[in-house]
Amino acid sequence: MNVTRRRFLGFAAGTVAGTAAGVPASWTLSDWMAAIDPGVRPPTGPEDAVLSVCKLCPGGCGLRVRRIGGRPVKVDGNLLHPVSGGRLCPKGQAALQSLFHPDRLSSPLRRVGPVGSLDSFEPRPWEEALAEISERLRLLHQVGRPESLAILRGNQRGVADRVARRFLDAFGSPTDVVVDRGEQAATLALYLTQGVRAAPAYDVRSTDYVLSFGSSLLEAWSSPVHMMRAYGEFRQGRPGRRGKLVQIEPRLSVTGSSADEWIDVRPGSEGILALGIANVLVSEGLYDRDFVSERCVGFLEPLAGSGGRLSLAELLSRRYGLEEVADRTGVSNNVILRIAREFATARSRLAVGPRKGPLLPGSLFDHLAVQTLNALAGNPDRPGGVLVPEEAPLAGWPELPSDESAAAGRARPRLDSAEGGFELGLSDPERLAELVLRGGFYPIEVAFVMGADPVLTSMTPERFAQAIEKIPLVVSFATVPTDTALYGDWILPETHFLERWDLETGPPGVPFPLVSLSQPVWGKASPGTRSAPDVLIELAAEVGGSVASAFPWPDVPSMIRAEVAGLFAARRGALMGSEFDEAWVRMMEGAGWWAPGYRTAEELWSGMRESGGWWDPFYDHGDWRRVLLTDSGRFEFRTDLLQQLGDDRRPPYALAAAGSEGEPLGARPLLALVLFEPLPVAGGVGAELPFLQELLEPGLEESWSTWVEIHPETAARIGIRDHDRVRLTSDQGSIEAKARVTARIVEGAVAVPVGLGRKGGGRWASGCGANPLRLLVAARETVSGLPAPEATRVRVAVVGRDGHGEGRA
Amino acid sequence: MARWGMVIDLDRCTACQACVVACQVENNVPPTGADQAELGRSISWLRLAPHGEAEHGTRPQMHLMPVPCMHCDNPPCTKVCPVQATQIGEEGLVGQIYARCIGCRYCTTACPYTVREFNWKQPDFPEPMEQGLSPDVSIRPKGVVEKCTFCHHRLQVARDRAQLEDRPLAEGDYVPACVESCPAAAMTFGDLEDPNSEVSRLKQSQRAFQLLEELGTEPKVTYLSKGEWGGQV
Amino acid sequence: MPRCAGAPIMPDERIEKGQAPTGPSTGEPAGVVASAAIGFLVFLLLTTGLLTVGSGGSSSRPVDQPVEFNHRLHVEDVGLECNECHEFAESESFSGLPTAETCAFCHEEAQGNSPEEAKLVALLSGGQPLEWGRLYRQPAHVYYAHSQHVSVAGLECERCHAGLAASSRPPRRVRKLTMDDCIDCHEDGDAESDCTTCHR
Repeated sequence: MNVTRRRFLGFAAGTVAGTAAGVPASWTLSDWMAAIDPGVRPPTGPEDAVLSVCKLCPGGCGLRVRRIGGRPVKVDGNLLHPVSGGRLCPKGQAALQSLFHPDRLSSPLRRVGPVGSLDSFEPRPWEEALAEISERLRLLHQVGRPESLAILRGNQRGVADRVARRFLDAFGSPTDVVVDRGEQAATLALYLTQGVRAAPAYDVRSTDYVLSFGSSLLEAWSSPVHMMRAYGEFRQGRPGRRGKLVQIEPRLSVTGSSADEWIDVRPGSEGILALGIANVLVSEGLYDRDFVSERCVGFLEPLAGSGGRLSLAELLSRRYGLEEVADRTGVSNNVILRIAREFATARSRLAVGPRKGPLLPGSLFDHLAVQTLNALAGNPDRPGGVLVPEEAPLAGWPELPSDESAAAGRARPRLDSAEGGFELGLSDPERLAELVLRGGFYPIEVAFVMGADPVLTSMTPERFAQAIEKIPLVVSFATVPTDTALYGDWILPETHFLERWDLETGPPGVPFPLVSLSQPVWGKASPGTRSAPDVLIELAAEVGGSVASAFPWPDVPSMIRAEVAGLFAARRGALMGSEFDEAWVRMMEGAGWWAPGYRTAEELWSGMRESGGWWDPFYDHGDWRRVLLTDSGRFEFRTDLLQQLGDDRRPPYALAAAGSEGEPLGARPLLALVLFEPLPVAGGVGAELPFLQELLEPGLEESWSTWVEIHPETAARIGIRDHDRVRLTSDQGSIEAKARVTARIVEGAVAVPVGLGRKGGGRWASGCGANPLRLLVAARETVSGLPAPEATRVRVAVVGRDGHGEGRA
Repeated sequence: MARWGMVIDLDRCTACQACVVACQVENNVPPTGADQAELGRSISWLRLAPHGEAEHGTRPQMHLMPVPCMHCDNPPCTKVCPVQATQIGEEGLVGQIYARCIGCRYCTTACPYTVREFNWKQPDFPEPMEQGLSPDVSIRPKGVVEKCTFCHHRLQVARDRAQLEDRPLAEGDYVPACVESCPAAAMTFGDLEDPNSEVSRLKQSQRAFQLLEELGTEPKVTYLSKGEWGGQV
Repeated sequence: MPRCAGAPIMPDERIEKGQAPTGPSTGEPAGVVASAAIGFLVFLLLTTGLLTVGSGGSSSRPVDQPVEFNHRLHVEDVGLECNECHEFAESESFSGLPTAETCAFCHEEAQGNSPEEAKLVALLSGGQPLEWGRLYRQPAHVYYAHSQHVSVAGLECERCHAGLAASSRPPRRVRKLTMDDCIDCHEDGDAESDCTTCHR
């Protein structure tokens, strides 16, 4: 008998359990098999693919959507797309979960009860929604107060953004607020030193040594897939050349876990370390003398006209000496010297500024310090250095019809324009909320919110919720209700990005101009939904007059085709293509030829539909007339700003170290608060998708909730154990979370992820975790006016102890 | 006869977890909620395993490595299956035959890599999530064990396609979803029997090692350890 | 090398949610190498009442069709090839049921006096899609490609769809293809029988 005991047990267990469960005795095997069949049978059909672009973050990855029988079944990167190159991040991979989300809206919702709950909303027909909104707009227009309209939006650089701006211009309002702050600090630093209004692009692919100052380089970066592809090549893609990554940050992040070395600094002292390293470069003569003498000003003499009293060399030697920097950062002399020398002697080296995520741009001081270090290393505009992106040459839109009332409205100051800030047009959503609440230059009476969720993601979530409630009419566009939408008046169900046409310019962090085409994955949008640009155009028609005539196209596809005609007229670049095509175009353009692969605008259009878009891979390094636009025409060392910002800086490192020995730390808010954005929920997008909730923190195996990381020494002093339930309290507010005791965070600080703690977001996000942005005190960096989350301190107290106590595992 | 294997370069890997989601979407894994996750019952055929966080007082380090099914040449799981629901095929793929599985979970215990998952619940795809499911992979019922298949349904299609076009299977015709999605190109897949394949070449690297190779499981997933600055690529 | 064997009858009908009983799945016969084990299993199944009927080739529910399609008329009298209506049989995994456009190619207007054709013409003029009831089913966990069997192996459609081309009206019942149907042929034809060749 060839029956093992195991085999016998296996069958016996199955059959006994079956009879015990009360299965009818007359069942056939076939019935039994049918009963356990999950009953889900996806239909089959012909296979094809549609090219689109991901909008779950600003990264701009080209997508290839695989369809079976006309149904999308998988999303992958578009192989020909220069950003994604056939690859995707976990967010992009989860795109279908957002397309087929069970909580997608299918009808406009009008609020009829108290704010903050979806239960307060009732479905109403589109006609009613559009009638009420257009009536209000017409009224504003008639009484000559068009500036009382505001738009709060994300930054996807697509049709929705361009239509929103156009709508405001035509209507007559200056208040176009981009809620996404991700690139603001880096943009400001590049502007102040090089005079160019753009976010820098770091050429990691071509460098040998990267000093990352607290950047989320391999997580929620500006264009994550583009950067991760570059990083793969930097590490193992170049025979004989393997790059080294050094990560400088108070919390060992996922980027830090991939790095060759983690240098733990005190929270908020990254910029000080950058200047300390700069000082070593100068004092040891390891800086790029040619670049500094030919292309920089302010090195040996203070920058003329800036009001600065010290030259860079003086500032560094007086304020950023080895001992002092070691003392302030907590990094030893030896490590500073070693890192500085490694950096200086690498064949090609690069310092990356502390952009921590779409919501956490870093401070101007830190970015200026990193820019200064890069200039000393001769990095501006050289291969493997800091590049300056170029805008794509899309055709401009026809001039606005003349309208005196609109022109007067446009000429008014933006309601959110930063007090005493730089006239860069950087948005300041928190200031908008303050002015709405306090009463500013003029009231906001109608606001549209599209592609953004400021009640979740701004640095003052509660003030924002109050402001939204106070504005008489707030209209939110959403696929699944956002937190902001729950405080507004109308929620308009939006088509998913995979369901619409779009034409998007290049994402931040990518140096070459590119234009991606999104095509809908099926013929018609989900029932009851409309796209935000379509609705704005419809509203413009309702308002009538010059607002209506500002949109001369019958629909979005014809608008896009008109813009593509501009690309053709630019007579440069090429269709997206393989690496071979790319090398060919580069070579031809380098030699002064243009070899586009299309002969007419029609061919360009159909080529874009097949390849995913247009780009110009040729980057002309050292084009100083384009990348050094300061008054001096040189890179300017801004010692005036470094000094002022450095003096004003009272970073938490000082306080974190202040608690004297033996004093209980729980009593006063003394711990520094370190915020980070896990890639799956970065920018406040992702928690609504269950696959992404699973991935929050693989290192600590955390998912589906908010946790707070705390160093074992600090935890011991407060009496916190791993997995305790704790409350974090600041001067502003408090949240609860699960404590995780780990040496990944430095002493005297706590680290908390941003992206959870939503009211909206559907069944998987709503009520899951906590939003640490509610803890932030309303501090701002001087000079830049950027929010300063690092100014917040918290205290931690245990509120509950799980019976299992330490270690679930 | 081909022998399919994978190489994962930890020097390229950024621990972004694109592979994890790519796998779930490709293979019709149902969504779970916080409650199931809390019980440790969410299903993931491929996960990032942490290792190396230092003990108290020393400098912490953290490494994350993607762990799919190793498709061992000498698999411990197949030996304990009482009903032959899991078997190693001619091309080295360790298959899982759901219709046969009785859910005894001997295999989940036997697998030293803990990559086998048990279905504690009937899969639930709330309306309209069902519409996004792929017909290439069947939905697993409650009470069976499932695991990474190296996306063998892609092999089924690729092989048929090649035969239909009357040509041999070319390198790159058959690639699992995780490998396809990896942004840093850390994962490579191919025929280990073909000395000219990329996986065979990478396997020769001095950085190559296998997970728990001392157990004699002969895994077909090879890892490349982190490199040194200035070291050989 | 172990290989697939045993021939369970797989389910065809979709089970309504909530009807599924709890408990682990059934055991299925284990493999020819363990014939004694199969005997033992059958014994167990019989004694516990799980296996009362040996096999079931067709479903118990009748199949509704929009039109009583006459295969014989089209194949034998008109001389159409199967792939003229089932257009994907040579190139895809599925053979494809004819769409309204396919039928309209000949039947936009009536060709004869058949009442069924009149029904079809009316349907087509109404612009409705034709929703044919499927007559052959395999379990969802089976990978089967028509292209492989028709184009590569060169099998006749008759081999699996016996008698259909000669029928003047569609069968009332679904023909459920079982593992027996596959394995017999794979053994005869020396085709692959690795589990993962077909299971997915």
